[in-house]
Amino acid sequence: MTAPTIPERDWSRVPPELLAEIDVFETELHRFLAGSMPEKVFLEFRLRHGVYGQRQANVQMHRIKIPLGRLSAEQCITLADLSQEYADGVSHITTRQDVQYHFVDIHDTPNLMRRLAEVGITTKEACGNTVRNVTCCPTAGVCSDEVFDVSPYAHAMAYFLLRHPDAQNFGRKFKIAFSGCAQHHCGLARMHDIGAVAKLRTIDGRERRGFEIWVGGGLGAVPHQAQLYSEFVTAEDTLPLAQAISRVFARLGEKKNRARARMKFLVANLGVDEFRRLVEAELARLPEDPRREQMFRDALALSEKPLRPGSELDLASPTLSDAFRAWHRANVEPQVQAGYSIATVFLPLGDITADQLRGLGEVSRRYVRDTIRTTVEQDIILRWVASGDLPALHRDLEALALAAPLASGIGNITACPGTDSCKLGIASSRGLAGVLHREFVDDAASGEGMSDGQGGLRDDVAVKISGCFNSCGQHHVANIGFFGTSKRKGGRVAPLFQVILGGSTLHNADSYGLAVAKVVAHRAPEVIRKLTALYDAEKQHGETFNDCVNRLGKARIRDELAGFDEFGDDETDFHDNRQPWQYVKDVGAGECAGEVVEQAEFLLDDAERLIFEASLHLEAGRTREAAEVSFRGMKASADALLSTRGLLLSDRYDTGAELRARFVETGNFFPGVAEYYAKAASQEPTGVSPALARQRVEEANLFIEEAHVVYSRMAGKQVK
Amino acid sequence: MTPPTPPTAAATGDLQKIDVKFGVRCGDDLDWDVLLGVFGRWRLEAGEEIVDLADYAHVPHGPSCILISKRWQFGIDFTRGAGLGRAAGWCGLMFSSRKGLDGDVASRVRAVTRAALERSSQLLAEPELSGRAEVLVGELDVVFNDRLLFANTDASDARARPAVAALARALYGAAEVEIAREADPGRRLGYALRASPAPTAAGALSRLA
Repeated sequence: MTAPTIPERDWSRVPPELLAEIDVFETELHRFLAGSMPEKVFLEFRLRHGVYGQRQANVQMHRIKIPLGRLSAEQCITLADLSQEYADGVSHITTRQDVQYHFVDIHDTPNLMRRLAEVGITTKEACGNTVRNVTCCPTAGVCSDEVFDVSPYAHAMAYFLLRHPDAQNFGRKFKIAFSGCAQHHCGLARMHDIGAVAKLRTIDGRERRGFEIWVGGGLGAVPHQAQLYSEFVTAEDTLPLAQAISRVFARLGEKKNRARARMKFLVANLGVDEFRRLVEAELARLPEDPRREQMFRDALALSEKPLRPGSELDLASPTLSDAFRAWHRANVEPQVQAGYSIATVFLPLGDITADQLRGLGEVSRRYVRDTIRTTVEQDIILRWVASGDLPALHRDLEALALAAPLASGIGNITACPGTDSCKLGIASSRGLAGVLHREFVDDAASGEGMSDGQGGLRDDVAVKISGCFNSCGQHHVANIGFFGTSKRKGGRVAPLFQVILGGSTLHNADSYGLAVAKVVAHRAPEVIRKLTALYDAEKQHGETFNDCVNRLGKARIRDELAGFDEFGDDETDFHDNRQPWQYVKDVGAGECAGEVVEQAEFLLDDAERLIFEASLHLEAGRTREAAEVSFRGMKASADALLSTRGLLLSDRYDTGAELRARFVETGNFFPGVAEYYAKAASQEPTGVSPALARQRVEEANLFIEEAHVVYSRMAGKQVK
Repeated sequence: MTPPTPPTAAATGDLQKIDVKFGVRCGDDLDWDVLLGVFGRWRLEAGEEIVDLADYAHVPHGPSCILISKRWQFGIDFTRGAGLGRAAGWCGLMFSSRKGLDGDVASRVRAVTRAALERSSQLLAEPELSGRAEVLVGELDVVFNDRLLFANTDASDARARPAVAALARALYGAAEVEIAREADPGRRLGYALRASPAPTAAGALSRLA
């Protein structure tokens, strides 16, 4: 058995600190596989690197953070390549502008991260109880309706909070969104933990950029509308504000009851006024951080430039094909900058193959200068396309099968992964979306059903589908939403969908729909046709779908849908959409709502890793490193204990002094062992003899063991 | 328990990811959604070996339906594959190995090709597909799906081509075979094999036994 000779990979394109972080992940992975790390701790650890266990055993979903949805051509090509090598050849765009790979082998995840890091992409904190991807209007900076370009501020927020010490001890995930205006649907600011909506205000005679700040929004099983925290916060103040909010959430947020651990519950329980008071108290004692200003400067320095001169398109030209016209109607909008357009590449169910994504990256280089963004509708847009280039772009997209004219119509269905890969999925959201997609494409081609009569689809109704009540498919903000459920009859279980009507993404998602009826899964497409036909027949004076539904009333709608939930006579009632086999309800424990791992546990595990690393240095004769790293291990374990006393790492306390005051002098930590820390802290690691280095490592080992004993005692756990 | 030695950051491990795609001839009326039922059945019969099936029928020129096992992926595929001047929408049966290979490069390539033919033959013998599609053994792409180990370079070609040539001899014997390498260095190292005459799938399997 021989393996081919392989040249070593040069990882020099990866920043050293990122390479070290990924090396740590790989080490921890191997420790876990060897049984040296508790599963609970490793689970949250890998989630914080974007590695999420799928419904199916032994495969992972890897979530890739794309802050603001901003991508370069090189990144598109790399994502395409990696999807072939590590996943199933498909990249999935999510409802939060991320990219996801499915069916990834966990052993591949370290190299996957390294190769993403080579092109400036991280998966850090893409999952887990952390600040998730910061989303932003995909047209920020080129939109005719925006107050100002929110991209730099969203960018600064994303990178300021990434790995921030104050964002490491949450009881649940935390989501932030930026919107350039109050009225449109793109930003969805009011359904986030923090939503920032651009505003201008004149202060002391000077126009200042700032944001209306909303807090405590969120969908999930029970959606909460965000509450107004402040009518105006200057742009510069958004970072310290977010940090202060994080500290309040970390301190006071629920950590035991996972179902009530999102910040929306904290804000609801406290009331927004008390929440504001607590945040302002945190703000007042926030230490100075020069990083904030630097981050703003760096973010504001990033600017987009077109690749080609602006030009106009003569839509009256007879040379334009019907296919182009349909695509232009549905997928193109003019930018505020004259001569340029935004072209949306519609992706069915948010999926794009490696060939397509690579091709899109290559095509984009002909028309734009890395001005590519993902959207929350699970599409990709190209900004700064010279309008005169649109016909040529359309031809290039057609060659990649990426020119479907479905970006703005009912055909742009949002669906979460559902039972395809998520442990929490109850019914197949993607199966239903797949059936609808096929039907609607046929309608567009035939001119019937949902067709707009011009090669596209009607654009007055939006459909969103979740596989369960947790709303990852955002069913609460759809005109017609569905979430998966099931029902037993006799000895058999059938998949159903709950129908939600009247939600909206407009005005930053300020209104949520209500449940009206249930429907057997395979009949959900009929429900859409019935409801849209009802709307067409009953609408008055140009009213919207939501207005019509509200006017008709829930009782009327329920009557219209009577019988759709009946099942049992037809074998297909027991099949989910696009699944010609018996439905089995198999819901597991979702990792997005997994057990909270206290920061203390993470730090203690870190201490274990560091002391092991120190022993390796010792073994290799690197005495200075052995002494240095063993001290870091002791400090990590001491900080672990101090975190249980409410100290936050960003408070920059004196670890030794605090440990002495809070644990040693109170009789909770053995003084003789505590002395090891004080001794190591006072001595320089240079010029350390092998004997002294060995002593340091051994003392650090004992110190860390004592920290474990103390922590276990605090938690009431048995000491082994 | 002795803690494991931390791995280095360099690329390690042996070649496990090889894609083999055989062309398929079928009528335009064949709806490949039939794979949902076939793969659903295989999943139940195979137990834990099969992870699941992934339905991408909604993606044009995509992989349609993929059966995902712990060690490989398999399905009808309409992607461009190795490229080589081929248009998108090339219909073929794609077998992607992920684990479980050993031996030298030639042994691994041969093993994956054999597995591809076995799965393809098994699939096309299913009642839903019997008599409706045929494997084109003479149209074959072999792709080294691991840029870390086999980047598309002349050095990698020197290691890989002998294995591909050996495969061609084994499959096609004395028939005329054209072997073209993927010209774009940014794409994966891949080879398109075109042979005439070519054996049937059963004949090819017996040659690779």
